[in-house]
Formats: sequence, structure tokens, C-alpha cells
Amino acid sequence: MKFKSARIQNFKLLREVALDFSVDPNRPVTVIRAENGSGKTSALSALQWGLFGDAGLEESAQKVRLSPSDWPDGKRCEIRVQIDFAHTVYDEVGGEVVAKHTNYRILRTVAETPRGEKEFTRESDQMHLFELTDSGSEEQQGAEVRLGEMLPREMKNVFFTDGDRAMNFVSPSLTKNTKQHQVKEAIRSLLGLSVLETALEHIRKATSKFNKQLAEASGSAEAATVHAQLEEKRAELKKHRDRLDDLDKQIEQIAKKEEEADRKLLQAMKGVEDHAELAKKLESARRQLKEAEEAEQRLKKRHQALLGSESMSWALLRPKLTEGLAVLAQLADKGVIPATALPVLQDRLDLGRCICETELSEGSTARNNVLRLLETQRKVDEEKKILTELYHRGGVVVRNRSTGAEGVTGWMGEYDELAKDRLNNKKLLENLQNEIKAIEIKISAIDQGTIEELKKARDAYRADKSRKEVDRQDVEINRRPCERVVADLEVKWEQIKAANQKQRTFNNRIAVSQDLGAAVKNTLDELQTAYMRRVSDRMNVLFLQMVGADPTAAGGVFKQAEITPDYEIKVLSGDNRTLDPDHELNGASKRALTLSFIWALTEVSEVVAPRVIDTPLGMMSGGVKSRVVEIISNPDLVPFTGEAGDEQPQDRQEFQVILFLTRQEILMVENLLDARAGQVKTLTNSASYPIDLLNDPKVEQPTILVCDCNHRQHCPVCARKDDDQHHLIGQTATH
Amino acid sequence: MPATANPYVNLELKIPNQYSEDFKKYTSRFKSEDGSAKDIDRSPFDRYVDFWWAAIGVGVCEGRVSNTDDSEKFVTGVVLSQDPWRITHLELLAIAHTGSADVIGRPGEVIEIANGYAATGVPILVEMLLKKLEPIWDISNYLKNLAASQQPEAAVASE
Repeated sequence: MKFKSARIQNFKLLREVALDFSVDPNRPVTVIRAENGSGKTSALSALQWGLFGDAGLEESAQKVRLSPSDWPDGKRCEIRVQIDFAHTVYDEVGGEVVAKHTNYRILRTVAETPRGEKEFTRESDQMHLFELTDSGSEEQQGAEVRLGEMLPREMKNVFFTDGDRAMNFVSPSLTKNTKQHQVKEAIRSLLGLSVLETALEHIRKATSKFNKQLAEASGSAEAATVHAQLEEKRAELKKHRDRLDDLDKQIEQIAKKEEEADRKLLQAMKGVEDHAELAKKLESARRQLKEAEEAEQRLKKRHQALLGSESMSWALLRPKLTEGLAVLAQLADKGVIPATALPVLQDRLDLGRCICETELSEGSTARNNVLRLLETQRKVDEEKKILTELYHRGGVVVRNRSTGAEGVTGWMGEYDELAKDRLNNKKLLENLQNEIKAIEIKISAIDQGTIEELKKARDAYRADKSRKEVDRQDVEINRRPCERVVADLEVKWEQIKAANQKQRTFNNRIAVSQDLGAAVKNTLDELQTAYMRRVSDRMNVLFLQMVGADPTAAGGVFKQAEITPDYEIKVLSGDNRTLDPDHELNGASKRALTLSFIWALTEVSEVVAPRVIDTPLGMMSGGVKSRVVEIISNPDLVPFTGEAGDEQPQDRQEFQVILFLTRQEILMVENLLDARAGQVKTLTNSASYPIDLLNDPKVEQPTILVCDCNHRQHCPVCARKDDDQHHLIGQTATH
Repeated sequence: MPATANPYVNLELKIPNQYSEDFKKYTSRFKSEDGSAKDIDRSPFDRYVDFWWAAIGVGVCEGRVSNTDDSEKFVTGVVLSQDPWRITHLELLAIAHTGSADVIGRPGEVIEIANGYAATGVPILVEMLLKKLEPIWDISNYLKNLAASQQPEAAVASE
């Protein structure tokens, strides 16, 4: 079976999604690129539901509505999944292998009517299988049976895998019993053993009937009593076993929910770490804002000082000040300033003789004249002194302001400098205020209340799981003595049978049915063990390849991975020590281990069908990631489905892998996908705008959008804010 | 240089009556009515004498003195001692205005000339201050343009 295309309508948020799958045997991989919450799980579920109906979904999903979450209450919603696929049958004709290709279409529809937040009514789904030919389509009878032959329902979890869910095979949150049960069931699913199991049940019933007949025919009260007790105890033992199976399933379901809750909590807790980081940034930004505000005040003071400064006065009054000084300069040129007459007159008085040689003796007229002149000159000199001082002061001002560093621009230059500083500081203030606002918005988005709720939910699941495990222990405690009682009663019954020769016929029948039962059970057990060994061997090869381990190298980290006879997946170290998956395997190795188990199951199953995996590369990076992609995508590494030396070319032709990958998973394996991926599509959830998407998708309802962007591209539909990290190339929208 | 003498301590520095409230409003040294400090961008001048001096500058650039009959005192000349350069500038201005150094002997006339120029400049500045909530930039740019117009031609051409 090879998928060609799928069309999904109204399945969750996949309102109208068309997917094409690669059918190129040389490029057998189809990549559906989608981030978490962008429809990967819904698309996987849609394909499973399309093929298998409700039975194709997880038990919990069967009770959840399929229609879009915002579909109006009371309005009928038609949900539709159409899958086109090719099926090839190989026949040997005249010593040659001849292939016959047939194209089919599955169309599964169901109508669902929402009635409130969680309530809904769903009608019975309808499935039609059509053979597609050049002349049209022809509906096939017995569609479910025909489809079951191509891809048995028991294989659904083997060929449709959620990478996260597969981790349950080695999950520390599940008990050992539960994990063993899961592995055993996964291997049993390969065997298609329902017929044998049904036969075994029939044989047991027949044996019981013969025993009853024997007891009645014997006429022995003891025989009747023993037989009745035996039947009663067998029924009780079956109840215990059924209860154990039921509890194992419940524990598995709760563990999945617990893991999901834990994942959500970790994501929210990451927000808390971001909170501390953001708080630091906020403190720093606020500190810088305070400094900038203080700088703003200093700059304002500087501005104000400029408006009252001497340099501004000079700039505005320059012509007048220069003119005033020029007047004083003229006085200086004329000798009016500085005053010199007073000292000369005083000198003459002291000498007692005038310049003109006139005697200036005491009491003489000439001396009195000189004294009067001296007095007058003193008054004039006072005024001239003031002017002289002004001339000197003014001269200093004019000289300093006209030349040197002040130059012409002086105050204007100072003002321009200040204006630039104020503008730069204003921009800094604005940037800091915006930064603080953005950080405060981010901090408020980290909802502490939500973290508490998630913790409560996770702890509630844990508590519930613990209670179930206690219940399981109780059932186990009751089962064991019951088993012993049954064994004792069986021995007693055999003794009674042996002692009663008359009942030989019944004994023979009983013996035959017991032998037949034992034969069927042994066959079942042998087949299981054989398949388990094949899966174990193949898992080992794949795991060591994926982690890049050389089992022959001394001191290597990993030597072997195996499934033990009691269906436990174990890993041995280079020194033959069993490694504890919880503490001694990192996330990537655990992922590789579970992926290699699933891959081995698909290969050993001998069913040729698309291998669909959601998020196979989570937690992987570097060499492990590259090797994993190489192994699961390379058509030349496809192992044969028969015994050694019996390679079938059709295995390579039919090889098809469909991977749902996030951008982070694609990182560093782009080259491999360039070579192996024949089809790539991208899914985008419109509701991711504006948090993660760059552009407004402009749709009325939340919906999953599809574009043709491959793993190296983005377009206006799918462009995300963190696309720079993934080195994507932009292109125009194609969808 | 010895300290500058201040013969104007008892003389009155004046501004037109009708602008006395604006004078207080646009000077930030004194707090607002509610007691809070004024924002410098809204009240650009530190002291009254700074506002008065800018008005003198505007008046000088306008090239005219105005009547001071309707002017009132806001402070005495004692304030000029705090910035001795003002005394030098006032006296050179008065000499240039009268064309004679004799005016220095008449301190009252020196101050009256300054008051006259201020009376021209105050209305122009107040009108500009009233136009914006934060007028500091309009005032500053106006004064810068005035200053540019006062530069010698050769310097202006080279800017």
C-alpha cells in the first residue's frame, strides 16, 4: 500500500486540507512540516480514522468530538476523510515476478452535532472503498475486509506512530508490568493471531464442557463438587486476569495523560525561568531609565543656563558692544583716557616748580592755581577712571569673544551641541520606556496561576495512577492464591478422572481437547517468541546504527539492545551492564531506542504499508539525528521482508515514509531531506498569530492552513517570528 | 582684575506691567502655585533678570527702545552684582546707544536705556512663550536666528 493523496474536511481544525504524498521510490519520504499545535496530531489521527474508523483512534480520542471546536452547537457537521492509495500485488508468472498495481480511494464520512462544550452526538460513520480506473471509479464490496487484508487493524499502532507516545515503551512513569504488557501486545499485533486465540478459547470451553459431562456421568458427589469448584475458581481466575488487563490499560492511559500534563507544565515552567531573566532585564532597563531621566534634568539645566549666559548676551549685543568699545577706543587714542594729568600736577607741587619754571612756593598764587586745578582734575579723573576700567573690561570681553575657541559661532555652537545631546537623550528615554513596556507585557503573560493548575492536574494524574497501581497489586495478591487453588483442583480432578475407568470416553475427549489446547498455545507462544527474537535482533541493529555505537569496540557506551523473554526492552553497556533507561540513557538515545523498536516491528510484520511518524526526531541533535533520518529514509537500506537471501525488489519499490516534523527537527538534516523527500508541505495554525506568526492570516475562524513551502522555505502564510534561526528562504504564498 | 563696581544697586529694573504675571510664569526659579518645581521646558528662564536680559537682546536686535511709562520694577540693580559681565555689557550698550561715553556718569540713564530695550523685547518673547506648552525650543531657535543675524557678514557667509 502506498498513499498518493489525502483530502481532509472538518476533522478538528483541518477544515479543508489537501496533502500529496511522494510515490517516487528514489525519494520515498513525504515531510509534513508543522510546529506543535499546528495540526500534526490531527492529521495523523485523520489518516488513522480514514483507514480504520473510530477503532483507528486512541481510546481517549474516541470519546472526543472530531468536528472543529468552534462548530456551532446544534449544527450538523459533515466530517470527511478521503485517502487515495495504490496497492501492488506481486505474482510469480513463468518464473518472473509480475506486479499488478491497483489504485483505490477510501472515503470515510460521519456526521457529528456538537451539543455544548464537551457533549456531541455522532452518527455511525460510513466507509466506501472505490477502485479507480481510467474509466471511472467502482465501489468495492466488503470494503473493511479488503482493507484489512492490505493493512490489518492490529498494525495501526505500528505503522502510525506518535514519537512522543512511543516513548511509553521505556517511560519511567510506567510500571515494569505495564511496559512489558505494551511490548508484548505490540509484538502480538504483528502475528494476526486472533484466529488462533479464538480457537484456543473454543478449545477451553469444550474442555470445560467435557469435564462437566464427566463429573455428571461419574455420579460421584466428590467429582461433581471438585468440578464445580474448579469451574468456579477458573472463572474467578479469569476475572482476576481480565481485571489485571483492564487496569494495565487504564494505567497506560493515565500515564499518557500524566506525560502530556508534565510536558505542558515544563513548557510553562520554562516561562518561569524566562520570568527571572525578564525580571533582571526589567531591573536593568529601569536603572538605565533613571540614569537617562537624571541626564535629561542635567541637560535641561544646561539649556536654561545657556539662555542666561554671557555668551548669549554677546551673541545678541555684539554690534552694540563693539560700537561702545570703539567710542572708548577713540578716547584712548585722543589721550583722554587713561587719566595722566593728576600725577604730573602732584609732581610739580612736590617739586615746587611748574613746567613753565614758575615758582610754586607755599601761599603763592601760582601754587593756589595749581591746587585748584588739582582738585578739579581729581573729579574728572574719577570719571575717567571708571571709563578706563570699562575700556579695559570691554576690551577683554571683545578680544576673548572675537577670537580663539569661541570664534564666531560661540553661543550658537554651544546651543547646537546641547540640542544634539538633548535629542539623543530623548531617543534613549523613548527606547528605554518602550523596552520596559514590552518586558512588562511579557512578564504579565507568564501566568503563575496556570502553572499551579498544571501542577495540580499532573499531580492528580499521578495520584490516580498510584491508586490504580495499588488496585493492581491487590488484584495480583488475590490472583496468586486463586491460581494455586486452581492448580490444586486440577490435580485433584486428574486423579478423579484417572480413578474412574468408566468415564474413559469423556476422559479421552478431555485429553484430546487438552492436547489440542496445549498445541495451539505452544504454537502461539512459539510464534510470539520467534517474532520477539526477530524484532529484538532487528531493533538491536537499528539502535546501534542510530546511536553510532560499535558493539565490538572495547569500552563502548552501548553494546546491545534487546527484548528479554519477559518482553522488557533493555540496553547493555560495553561492559555488559544493564543500563537504567531513566538515568543512563539521554533523551536522544531513548528516542532512538523506541524508534528502532517501532521500525523493527514494521519490518518484521511483512506488511508493506506507509510508515507514518509524528515527531520522530524530538530531543535529537547532531549525529544521532542524521543517522536516524538516514536509516528511516534511505530506500537502499530497506531490509528484505523474507528470510536471509530472499530479498524482494518490491520492498524497495513500495517503501514509503511520511514524517511530521517541526522546524527544530528539520534543522541540520536539510540536506538529507533534499535528497530523500519527494513531497513537502507545511501546515500552519492561523490561531498562532500574533504570538508566533509574522503575518495576519486574515481568516474568520481558527483553521489549519496548508502551503507548498518545503523544509527550506517560508512564505507569507507560514512565516514565523523565529524563522531566522532556521535559515529559511522567503517566497510568495503558494496554497 | 579688581571687582566690578555696581553703581546701579538702587536703580529699578523694569518690565511692562501687563506682562508681570507671564514673567513669573515663565521663570522657573520660583515654584508653581501648588508648590511643585516648574518644568524647565515650560519655564525656560531661571531668574527674572535672565528673562529681562533676553528681552534686552531681542530689543537690541529689533533696533528700538520702547516707552517705559507703563513698566514696573521687578527687582533692583543689586542683582547685577551676581554677574559682573552684565554691568560691562549694559554700559557698553548705553555708550553705543548714546554715541558718547558721558552716559556712564548717569547711571539712571544707563538703566533706562536697558529698560527701554527690554520693553521692546518682552512682548515678543511672551507671545512666543504662550504659543506652546513647552516653548523652550521655539524661544531657543528664535534667539539663535537673531544671534546669527548679528554676526559679522564674513562669519555669516562662512557658516
